[in-house]
Amino acid sequence: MSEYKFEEFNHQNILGVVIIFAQSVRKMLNAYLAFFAYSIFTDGVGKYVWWFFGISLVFTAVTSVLKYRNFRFKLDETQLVLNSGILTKDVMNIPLDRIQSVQMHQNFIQRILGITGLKIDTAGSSSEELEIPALKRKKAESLLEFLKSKIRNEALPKSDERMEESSVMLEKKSIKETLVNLDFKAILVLAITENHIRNGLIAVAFIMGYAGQYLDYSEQFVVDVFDDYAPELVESGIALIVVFVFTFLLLSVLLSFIQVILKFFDFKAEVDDQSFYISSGLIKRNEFTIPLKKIQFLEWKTNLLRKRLGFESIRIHQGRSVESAGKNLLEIPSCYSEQTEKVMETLYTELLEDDYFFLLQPHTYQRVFRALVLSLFGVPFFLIATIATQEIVVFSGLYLVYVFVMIAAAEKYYQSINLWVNEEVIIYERGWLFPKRTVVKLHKFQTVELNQTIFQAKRNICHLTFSTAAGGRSFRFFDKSEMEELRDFVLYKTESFTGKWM
Amino acid sequence: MLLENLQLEKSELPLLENVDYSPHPKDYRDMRLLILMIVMFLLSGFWIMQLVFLNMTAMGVIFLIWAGLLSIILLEEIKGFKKRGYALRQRDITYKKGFLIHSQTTIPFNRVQHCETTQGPLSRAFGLMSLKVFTAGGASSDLRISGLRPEEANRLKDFITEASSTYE
Repeated sequence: MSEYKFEEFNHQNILGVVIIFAQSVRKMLNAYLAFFAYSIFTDGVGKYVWWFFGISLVFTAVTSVLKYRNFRFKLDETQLVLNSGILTKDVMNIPLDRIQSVQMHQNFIQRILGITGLKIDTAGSSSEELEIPALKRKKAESLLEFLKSKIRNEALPKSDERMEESSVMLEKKSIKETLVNLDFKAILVLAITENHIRNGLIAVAFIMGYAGQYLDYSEQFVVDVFDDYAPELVESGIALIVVFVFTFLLLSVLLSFIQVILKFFDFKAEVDDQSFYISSGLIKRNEFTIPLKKIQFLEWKTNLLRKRLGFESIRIHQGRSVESAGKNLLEIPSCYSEQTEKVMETLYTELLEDDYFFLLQPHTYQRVFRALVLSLFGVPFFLIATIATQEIVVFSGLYLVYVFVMIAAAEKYYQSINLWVNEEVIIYERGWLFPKRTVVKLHKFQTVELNQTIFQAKRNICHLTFSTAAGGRSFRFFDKSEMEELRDFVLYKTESFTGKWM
Repeated sequence: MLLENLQLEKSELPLLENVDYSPHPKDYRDMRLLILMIVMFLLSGFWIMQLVFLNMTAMGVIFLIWAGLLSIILLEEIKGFKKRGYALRQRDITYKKGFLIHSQTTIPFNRVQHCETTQGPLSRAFGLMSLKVFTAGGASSDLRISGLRPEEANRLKDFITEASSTYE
């Protein structure tokens, strides 16, 4: 299929030495940073640091060459084999059917040198990142193609009759359709309509978290909190601290622009009947291939502004291990209704135009509970303000207004919740400021949990939580008998499904 | 793929509500109460230390909170024990628990990655064992059933392993 032979052990491109060296030096610089800072302020010890640094640099150069020499990879019928290590010899065997996705990526140095790294993502719980850091672009592409063809052959049925079908399928797969292709104007629109407040909060959390390694955690935390209750809270807070918010907003907007442009520059999403193909990025360019079968669920998100302009973003949730939680999230940032339709058609093939959907709505207790929780959120703030200023009348008045706003918000939210079920998928819609829509195939479920507090038992309502290999969602405050029926139905669907689900 | 996609009537669905749950042996409740007592004992040492520094009113308030919390936990333990139980069906396992917050967790066997039985020193003294059922993608979707008789736990493990390996 190409001039490259992957059946035998391959070395990387010779420029890989430079890449490995650069990676090691970067790691080393992190370790040395404190010493450098120290040496600036103190005499005497300082010059030894530089000596040590010089020696380490030479040492790193030598190990880089050795690392390059000992890193070999090959591909046989069933697995990818990576050999590495200088003193200890590591042999890593990756069964092809464990590979979740293969990703080409280029950082700045790799771009200058014109080579590409290949990252391999497995669903296993090992936290080690599998990477071949330096390949010529053509070779990387060829390997990617080769890997994908192997993965596909694996997945295809073996009997003769099916072989014909599969060859048809293979022919068909070459027809890639462009789904989304963002030009600069589209990216600007995207940046303007970003959720600036959230980005600002993430930045604050990031700064407070200081080190980059905490970014994932802090981001996850802010996102979770924000998604649950904060939209209304943030809105009501704005009126009270205008000046602070103004500067905060300005910075946030700036941040959104930088972030969006860096992330989605020259964004391209393509789809065929096997996979999604996504490539984007300005400085760091990423290319993803996501086999459709491995997608656990999709989530459409938008906000009021974007809704008016008619587009949404899609998050693609793939199977993941605990360690890489959040990293496997993929996003198509801008999707209009026809593109959404295209995605739905591709993924949910059994979905018919006139398919019968069953609509469930939460119990009215949901809005009461939400209004209560949101109102209680405000109590500490107003209490502190009252004690600090002694203005009891003013702040109890304000609190009353706040409670009414929250009741209205809860009512709005309640009306936005819809749970659609048909023979193939569950669609869970909710949110009015930030509408979200989760679409999950029934057979992707792996744990179903029914929760009920003793207070809900009287009203016969409960929560139903499902988990897939990519995490889960809760349907909260629904009628219990309906949820029991839904659970039985979902279990039946999952248990009678015999194909691959991740 | 052999996904049968026939329209199902409601009455044809296998219902989870109708199954019988197997309870834990009484020893498990005793073990839980013992653990609770040990924890309480350790914490009470902490509270007694406070006595030296606080006045009587503060102590009274703390004691009230303390008693309230304890009675809620005891209520949960004693009432909740009757609510605990697992049910095995041909294709899935369900575990239910909880009095104040009741939950029923179900895992289909074709989504099970692997199974494990463990036994700590305390559960060994009580002659109990726990069973863990693992699924892909993180601890949030795993299931743990503590307080089973060792033979029962191992039988369950073998059954689930057997059942899950018949799938891909």
